[in-house]
Amino acid sequence: MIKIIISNLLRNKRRSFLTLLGILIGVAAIISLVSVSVGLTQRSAELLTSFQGIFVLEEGAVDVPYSFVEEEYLNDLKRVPGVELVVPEIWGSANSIEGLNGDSPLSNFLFIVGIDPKIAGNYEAAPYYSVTEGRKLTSNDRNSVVVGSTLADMFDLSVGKTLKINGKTYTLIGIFETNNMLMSLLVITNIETAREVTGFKEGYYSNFQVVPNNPGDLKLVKQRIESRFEGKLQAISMQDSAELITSFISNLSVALWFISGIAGVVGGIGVMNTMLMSVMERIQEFGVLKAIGWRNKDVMTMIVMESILLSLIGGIIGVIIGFLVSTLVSYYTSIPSAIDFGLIMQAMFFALIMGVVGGLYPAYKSSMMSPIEAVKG
Amino acid sequence: MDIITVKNLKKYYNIGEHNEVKAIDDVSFEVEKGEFLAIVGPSGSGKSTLLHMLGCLDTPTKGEVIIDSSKIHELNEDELSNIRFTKLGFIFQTFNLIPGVSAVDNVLMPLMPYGISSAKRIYSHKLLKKFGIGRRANHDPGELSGGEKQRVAVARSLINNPKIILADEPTGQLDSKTGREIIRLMRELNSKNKITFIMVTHDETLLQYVKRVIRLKDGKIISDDKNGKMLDL
Repeated sequence: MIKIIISNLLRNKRRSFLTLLGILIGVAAIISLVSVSVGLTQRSAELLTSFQGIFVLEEGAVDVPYSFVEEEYLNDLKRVPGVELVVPEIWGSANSIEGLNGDSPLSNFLFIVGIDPKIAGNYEAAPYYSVTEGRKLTSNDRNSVVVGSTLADMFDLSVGKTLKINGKTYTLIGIFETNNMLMSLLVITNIETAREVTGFKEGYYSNFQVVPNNPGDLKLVKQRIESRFEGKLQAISMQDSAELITSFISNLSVALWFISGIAGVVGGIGVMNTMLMSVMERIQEFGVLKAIGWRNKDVMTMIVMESILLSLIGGIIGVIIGFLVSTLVSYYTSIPSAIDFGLIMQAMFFALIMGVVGGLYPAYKSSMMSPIEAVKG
Repeated sequence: MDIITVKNLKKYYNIGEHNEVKAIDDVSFEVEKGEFLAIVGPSGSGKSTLLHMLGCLDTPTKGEVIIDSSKIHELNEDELSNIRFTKLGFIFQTFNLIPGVSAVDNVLMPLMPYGISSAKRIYSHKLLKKFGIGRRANHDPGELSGGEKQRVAVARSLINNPKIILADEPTGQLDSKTGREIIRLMRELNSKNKITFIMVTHDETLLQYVKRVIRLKDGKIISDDKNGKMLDL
């Protein structure tokens, strides 16, 4: 039977190919879009939760670079129960790094961050303190910076080289590694140097990073800060943002499933159309097959099998193309490709359903025809 | 012994509200096992309709067809398929081979849903060889001549060892020489294998090669001559 099924599909190669194309686009869309969105979810959650502290900002400030908090809160925050460390920071734009085109969209993500190495000390939870080349900042360093590895790669920087930011020259003393892409674009310097470069007011910081004694108490400490400094300071935990972003991306995933589902349904309609056309063209053949002893169910099986075979081949090619697209996206954007066995099975099941549904109606139509009607065509 | 019994068979079609066409009108006859019978008549006489009912492809309006003790009107669609598969073979005027499938696979086509044994595969090759087209076994029907196609169709009709072969204008698409060769082949199968042949034709020249001729006109039998010449081919 398989021989005649293959022969039937090969009889009109162009039509079979176009149907195949419809299915493979649907399946490739499912595989690539869903894997990228799942990868994005994983990556976002990973990036945000890797930052363990609580950001304490001025109430109403939309982000760290737009926040101004008074120095006096440093000691107040230290007194909040459960707080181990309070690290003041100054954030400013570093959009005029020498060698970067000012119009580049990347300039919006480049910041110079000032820290006090004496206070930050060995706070390893902040990703930018994990220096892998050169050394960490010390309180004595002036006009020295450490940069994230992505920024170092972009400007071909190495330890010992100089870097011109916002018109001033700095010496690169270290490069830090972090799996947080935005963090790996930061320029870290001594807090006094940062104040000088950004023109930040004396007696103010951008924010405080608050580290709880126990990472499990993050929410509790955050609530305490919120209630104690209500109307003055706001506390943001990266886990909150992670939850928000994960929920957003989950919704995005549903939307992507829906979009790829539409592509799939179009593919399914294509299969049905192909099979209907094919059935209409072969009515007389079915009559002959019935005349020589084939039962209705044999003719139906043949048509459905043709449709399923077409869909499965389209599904397999679609999985391969989806995998390639997802891998390419992963290669160029650092969003991990999240293709797993479950997703492949879901996509193949989708292809199978398209095949069965696309083939059933034409098969049913052919079986309803009396042999003599069919023989007469 | 009768292998086919037709009793008061009627097939009426309604064309429009008060326009009834009597394609077959109260026809009765018997066919003995091993007979070679031709049904002749002008266009519209009902000969193809009659053949289709004998082949369980069409249902009568009234009357009975009994094939090898099976009352056709009492059978459901699957049982009719079984009768067609086990007892009947078909040869069509337009050959009706399945395109894109080799000659030998066309011969094996009736068996495909049921599974093909190696013995049947060997038998299909033997049949093609016997009919002089062994070398064409792996050719697509599109690559065969009309005569070769009809030989493949005859081989296909024999693959399940039927008791009856129904041939609808089997020489209609062939030149007279090839047509005679096909009739000779059918005669040989009739005499050696005792297969009953019922052939519908409008070609009067073929009637000299058959034993029995039923003439139809306007859906009725107008003559049933059982003493044909059966000339050698």
